Amino acid sequence: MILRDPVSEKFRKWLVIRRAAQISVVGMFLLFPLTGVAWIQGNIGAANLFGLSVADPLSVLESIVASRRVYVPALIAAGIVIVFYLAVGGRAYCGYVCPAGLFFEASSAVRNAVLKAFSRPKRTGWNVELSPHLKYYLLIGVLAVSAVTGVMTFEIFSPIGIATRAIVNDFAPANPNAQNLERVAVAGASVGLLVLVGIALFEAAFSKQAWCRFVCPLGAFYSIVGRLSLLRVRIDHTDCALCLNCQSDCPAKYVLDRPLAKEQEFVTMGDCTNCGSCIDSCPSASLKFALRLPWQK
Amino acid sequence: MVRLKQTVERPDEDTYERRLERVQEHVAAMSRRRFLAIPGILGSVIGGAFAVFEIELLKGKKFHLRPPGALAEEKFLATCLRCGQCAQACPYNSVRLAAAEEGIAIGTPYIEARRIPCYLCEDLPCIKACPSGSLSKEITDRGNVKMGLAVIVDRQACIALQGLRCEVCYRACPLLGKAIALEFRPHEVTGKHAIFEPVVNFDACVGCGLCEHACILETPAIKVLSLADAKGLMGRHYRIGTKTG
Repeated sequence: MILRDPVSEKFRKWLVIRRAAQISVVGMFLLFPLTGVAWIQGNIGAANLFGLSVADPLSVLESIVASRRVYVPALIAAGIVIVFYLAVGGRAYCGYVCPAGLFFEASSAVRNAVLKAFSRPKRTGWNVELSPHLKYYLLIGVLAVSAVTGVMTFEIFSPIGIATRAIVNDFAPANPNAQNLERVAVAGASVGLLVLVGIALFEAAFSKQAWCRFVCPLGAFYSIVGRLSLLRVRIDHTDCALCLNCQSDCPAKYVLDRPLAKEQEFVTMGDCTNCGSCIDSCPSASLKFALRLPWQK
Repeated sequence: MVRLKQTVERPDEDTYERRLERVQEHVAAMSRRRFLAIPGILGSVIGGAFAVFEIELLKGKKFHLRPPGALAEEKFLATCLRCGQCAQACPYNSVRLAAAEEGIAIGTPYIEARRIPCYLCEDLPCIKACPSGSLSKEITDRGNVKMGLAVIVDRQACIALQGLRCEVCYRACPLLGKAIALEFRPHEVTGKHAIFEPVVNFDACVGCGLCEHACILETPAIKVLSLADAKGLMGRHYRIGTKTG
């Protein structure tokens, strides 16, 4: 992890904050299995945070279409999460929370290190680019298949679920205060990990963060939330020299196109994860987080 | 021969205006580009049909003994958020989470009675912990739990039925004397001993699996089966005049 941006020579504040958040999320869910302190229980699918029940909104949506039944406490738990991401940015989930995202970012880091070590300068290696619209089709598909079969579909193959259960539920006995300390030890340590490792290997070889950018239905869901989010990146053109260093670091470069072309002031596209890498990499401090109302451009 | 004059201005000179022009051209080009909706929709429909087919094939392949209060299996698979809070609430670590090998049940909680059975806590902490209603909050009394039904699956292996005193399943039952009764009758071979046969009362049995866990055989003769596997159903036209109780 290079803590300084090579162009702007700024300390990568947002990268550090983001890594701290990603690791804290994992640590937060490990608190109970490792110490028995029951402040936070559950995993990324649904959790109890100091008595407040929160749930993955896409899982809850799937459960509603699959069971044709609304369980109000689960709906409220999902609503709390949606309100949170409406405030901090929809795909902030992807950048700051998702444990699979952290794993796939690690695979990108390996890819970059290998390319740097073994190829001539300026070689970028294979990079398959698909349409970012693909994930919306998958989101609709997942909901449609859930409705038809009555089975929550994304959960079957979700690397996020597999990663969270591998970390939270396999590491230690589910309940360390229990009389019998046998480990649950079946959730993630199985062929499920092949899904996770398979995606990571594919990404390292062919396409950086392909799952997150093109496939993930949960990412698509949060992308829709992100269009209405309050916290967004704003570009101030007075000092901007259009060096495009912000775009070179951005994991979803097209979100910066319109703001850079002076067509709009805010990054409004849902695929922006509010990761802040553009802010860290800007040599003139033209980019900042700002409050954006849903109708502002 | 006319010598072509070299142009004075250099078009590739990197000024701010040029860069802005390039960015704006790029945006215009991108907005002209249309996402191919028809292949996308076709692909989704075909992929979706395959997914539906696969899921239907995987449905109901295996019986999972669910924690207390679980909804019927198809409702359970439609609502469980796979968060593992029931497993974390269990004071015996009885509740396990299904691995990916379990197909569509991946991540859902189940109990392997032979490893650690459900001890049928009075306060049912797993139900209290469930955020999705998959473990129904309507079950507040442990006597109303119905996870499955214990069945003597092999009468020839059960040592009690061979005339030996065992009663281990009878003693292990948390609803002692209600869910498993001992019915005794004379041993026909010896003429002077008795056979103490464990008999499960389906109305009282909750399917916790303590009997299956306790069975002294190498492979248990009493097992918890799903309600569908365990129960028969009498035709509605039968009228039993001698029925008691």
